[in-house]
Amino acid sequence: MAQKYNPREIENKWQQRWAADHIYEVGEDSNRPKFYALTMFPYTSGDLHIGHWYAMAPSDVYARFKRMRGYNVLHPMGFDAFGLPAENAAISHGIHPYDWTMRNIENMRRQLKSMGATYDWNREVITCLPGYYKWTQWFFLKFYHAGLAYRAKAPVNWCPRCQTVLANEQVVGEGFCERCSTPVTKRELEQWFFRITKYAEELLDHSRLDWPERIKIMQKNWVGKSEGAEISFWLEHEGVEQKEIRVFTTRPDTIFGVTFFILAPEHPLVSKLTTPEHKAEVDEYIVWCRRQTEYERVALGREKTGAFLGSYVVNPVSGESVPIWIADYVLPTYGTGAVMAVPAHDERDLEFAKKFKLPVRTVIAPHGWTGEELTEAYAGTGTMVNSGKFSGLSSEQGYEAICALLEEKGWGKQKVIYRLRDWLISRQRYWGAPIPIIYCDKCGIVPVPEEDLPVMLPPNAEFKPTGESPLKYCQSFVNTTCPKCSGPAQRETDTMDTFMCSSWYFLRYTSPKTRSTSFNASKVKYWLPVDLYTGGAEHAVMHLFYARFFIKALKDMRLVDFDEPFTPLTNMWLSWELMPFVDISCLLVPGSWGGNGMIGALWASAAG
Amino acid sequence: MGVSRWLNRVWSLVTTHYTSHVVDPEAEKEFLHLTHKAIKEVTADLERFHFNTMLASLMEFSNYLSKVKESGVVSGFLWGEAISYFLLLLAPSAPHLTEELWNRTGHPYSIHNQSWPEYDEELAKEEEITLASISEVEAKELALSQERVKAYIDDKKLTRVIYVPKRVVNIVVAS
Repeated sequence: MAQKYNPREIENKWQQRWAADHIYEVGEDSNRPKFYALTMFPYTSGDLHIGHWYAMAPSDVYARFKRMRGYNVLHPMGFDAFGLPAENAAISHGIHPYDWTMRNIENMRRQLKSMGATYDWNREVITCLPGYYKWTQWFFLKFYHAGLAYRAKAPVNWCPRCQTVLANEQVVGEGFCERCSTPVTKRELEQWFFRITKYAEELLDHSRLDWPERIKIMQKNWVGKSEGAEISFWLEHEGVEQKEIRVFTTRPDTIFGVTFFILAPEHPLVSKLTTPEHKAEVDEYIVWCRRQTEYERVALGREKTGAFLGSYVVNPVSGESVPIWIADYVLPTYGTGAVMAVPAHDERDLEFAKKFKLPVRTVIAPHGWTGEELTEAYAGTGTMVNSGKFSGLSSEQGYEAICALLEEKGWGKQKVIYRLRDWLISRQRYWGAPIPIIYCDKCGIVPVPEEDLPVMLPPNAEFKPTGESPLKYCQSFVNTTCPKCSGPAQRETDTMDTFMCSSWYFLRYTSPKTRSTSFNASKVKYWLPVDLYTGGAEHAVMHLFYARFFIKALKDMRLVDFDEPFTPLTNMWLSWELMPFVDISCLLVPGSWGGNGMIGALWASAAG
Repeated sequence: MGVSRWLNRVWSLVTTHYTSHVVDPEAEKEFLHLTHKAIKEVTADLERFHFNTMLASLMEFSNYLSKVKESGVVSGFLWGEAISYFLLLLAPSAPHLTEELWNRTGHPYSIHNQSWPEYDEELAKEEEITLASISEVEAKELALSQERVKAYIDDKKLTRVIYVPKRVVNIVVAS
């Protein structure tokens, strides 16, 4: 009688043999076609879960299939090891983030090895080790020298619980912190930004990417491109030097319908334009607005709130003077933070006008309109009416004619704006790669010279959250000498967003041990672009978007010779696409995971 | 059949001895056809990440091999060849099991360094099946009992089964 099938026993045996024989280790081989199978590297949270399995199993099955079909297959694995959760967990467990992270990595590596997957463990990367983050810092310097990194004071999303700044993408749902679900508030801080908006148009171009439509749409919405015109409204107000306020509108053809004007409560002109008799009310309203989340502010159907400043601006096209209000639904960060309100043709403006009894004037007539008052805002196209010499034109013609007039008179110009903001990379946290910048009283902002990298993260810093960067209180870290004048200077104490680390890890896998450079160009040339990328759909915007930006910027710096990391041919497989045909109850995992030995964990059992 | 039980059956299918009784040329012809058809289907399914239909093809093929094993109608040579193809096709999905069985069937280590099997297009080609005198009920039952159809239906609720005489059986499921 033949011995029975015992998954645990044979898994162990063959895993040891494969490891001893290094059968999954690969090198460059010009005689065979290459295949780069990449799986999003796991965050070092401690345990792998079934979601990791979804991402890893298909890529392993496919990698094996490709190997057998004669491809030279690169299938690496690593760990995304910096970041807030490690720091928070370390704080609550009273253990250093380094120790916590490395212990988790050990556990996860063991779990991953127990899958028996084809990973080339010789190529492992761990982003929190100096040998890796030295190069993350090096990329920061490259971006800095290319004019793509700048420092600015800006209102930022602030999580009062995590005591840190959050990127827009990390604010979820109705304005909550992605990590701890605390409502997010706003704060002004001096930060480092990457000029991702410079690449907005290129990032919108998915024409050469054969990706699922859903990812493309998510990315497109993220860029949020609007075409329209910027128009200067005239300002004549005692004690205010500025003689105009600019607004952005996608509908310059509705300019004659402007019956009032709204500034964001945070707009710098608000206090100057508020007349003494309205000051108390305006101040009170501003305080109230500060407590509102961005999501609440822009929510459709929310009861409109606002305050009249007591002053007026003049519509340059109609010559009409209209009152200036502030309202929380106008955000300081979108467009110019000012809006020309056209209540007849914008739903939110109409709600506002009704609430505060402001006039409504129809200037675009829908087809078949006979002059009656419109019951709801009409946002479509039609014929211009009540619009002076422009009356009778179609809204499309009117759009062109008004823009031509604005340009001719110097009152404005056609413009394209984006919802996309520059990438805020500063984090007031300990567990990240220090930003390699030095501040000198004499020389100003001085980048750390490349030969001085890495700027080591001091192991002895107190990392408990205080709202300020923990490194600020680490004197041995902060105090340094200026690389330019050798005088006393201070280091930047913020660390980098971990999305920096994951924006280039797929380059590092090609030459993970190289000490002299971030990646070996000839190896990158051999392996890239990635042929198969699997991972979680939650990364469809942020990670994929930042990685694309990184590669486009590197291409312009001539560091790589391609401009998309995951290209036309990259098979994007994100896990939500699997869900519809995967029955979790039928999932199979290796024996050591309590399963039955089949790595292709994805299929449902065919006949129950 | 659950996948776990199936893998156990694969284990005994491969590890127990095959005896050829009466070699039947017609049966061998069908055997070759179904072997190459399996290679063709599994290759195409893997290429498109259609893991569930790939698994259905492998199950269908192994069920067929089990029947042949009982009757012993193909030569020992053909049998051995088919078993090695079957293991190669299963290797990406069940790497440990297939390595063990590859070893036990006397092949050189490692199965994961072997070439993917090629198929003969002529042999893989489907012969048309004529269902001339089949009733509506029989046609529907036959369609629903196919492993490849089951893979798509899975545990979904059947909402409609449409039968067009001598042409098509259309199965609608609730998602």
